[in-house]
Amino acid sequence: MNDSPITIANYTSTQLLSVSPKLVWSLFGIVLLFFGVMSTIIIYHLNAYSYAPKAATLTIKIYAIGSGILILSALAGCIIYTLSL
Amino acid sequence: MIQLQENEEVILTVRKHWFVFLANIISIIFVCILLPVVFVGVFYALKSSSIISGNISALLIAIGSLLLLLMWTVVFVMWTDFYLDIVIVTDKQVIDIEQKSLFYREISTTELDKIQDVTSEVDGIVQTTLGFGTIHIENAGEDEDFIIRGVPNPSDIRQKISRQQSIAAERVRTVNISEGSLQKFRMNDTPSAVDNSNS
Repeated sequence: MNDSPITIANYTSTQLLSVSPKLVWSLFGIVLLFFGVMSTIIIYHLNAYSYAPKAATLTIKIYAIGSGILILSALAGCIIYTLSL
Repeated sequence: MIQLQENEEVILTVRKHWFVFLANIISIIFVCILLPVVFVGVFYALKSSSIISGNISALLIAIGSLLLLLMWTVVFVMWTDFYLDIVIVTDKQVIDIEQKSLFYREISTTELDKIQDVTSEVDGIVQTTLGFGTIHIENAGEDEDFIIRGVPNPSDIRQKISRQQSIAAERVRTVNISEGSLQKFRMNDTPSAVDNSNS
């Protein structure tokens, strides 16, 4: 048997597997970028083409509230995970 | 926003039936229900094997929230697509606005007096139970026919379009008669006026 620890990615016989915080934050950034682009497109379309502007505003509000909750939740998860390492 | 003509009155606005939207997002709803179950399973598997360092639940919450955010965005893209599809029936024309994708919008109009026939179609058990179907508007001449799919209460809409079509046809007839009467009046009473109008 080889005494040196066997390394598979970040996993060694002596170490625990850890998901790099860089990877987690990169994922967060990519998803947030996608979300930002798509949100701009959605809001533009709803404002420009909606036949009932009041209903469009309500749609945008619901979308913003839901997105806000999910972004905060993801942000909290990322921060807590990073601090726990 | 669509621009209507002056004095044009909107009789009816129709959006597609909610089932059309539900059918589009059913797979996403399924994933959203399945996702927490999978994540709880993964959480307990990783916790019991204890091969991952750090706060696993925080990691799973972060990844889960990001996945849900992606799905939430996709659902709203689909909602925008669904919401911007609309049929407007006015006292002069029928306007069909179809948002086929975010960057592909098609607007078709047909004047009521050019409509030859309006038929409604409810096909299958789902459409019959939930009360939605297809409306087919046949145009006179070379104009393309209208096919509006997934509208609620197609029979009612067909009746309303037919009624407006009759009113529009009646209006055209009335105008023709009054023009004819005017011509007769001019010929009988003021021959010089007819001459002027002909020249």
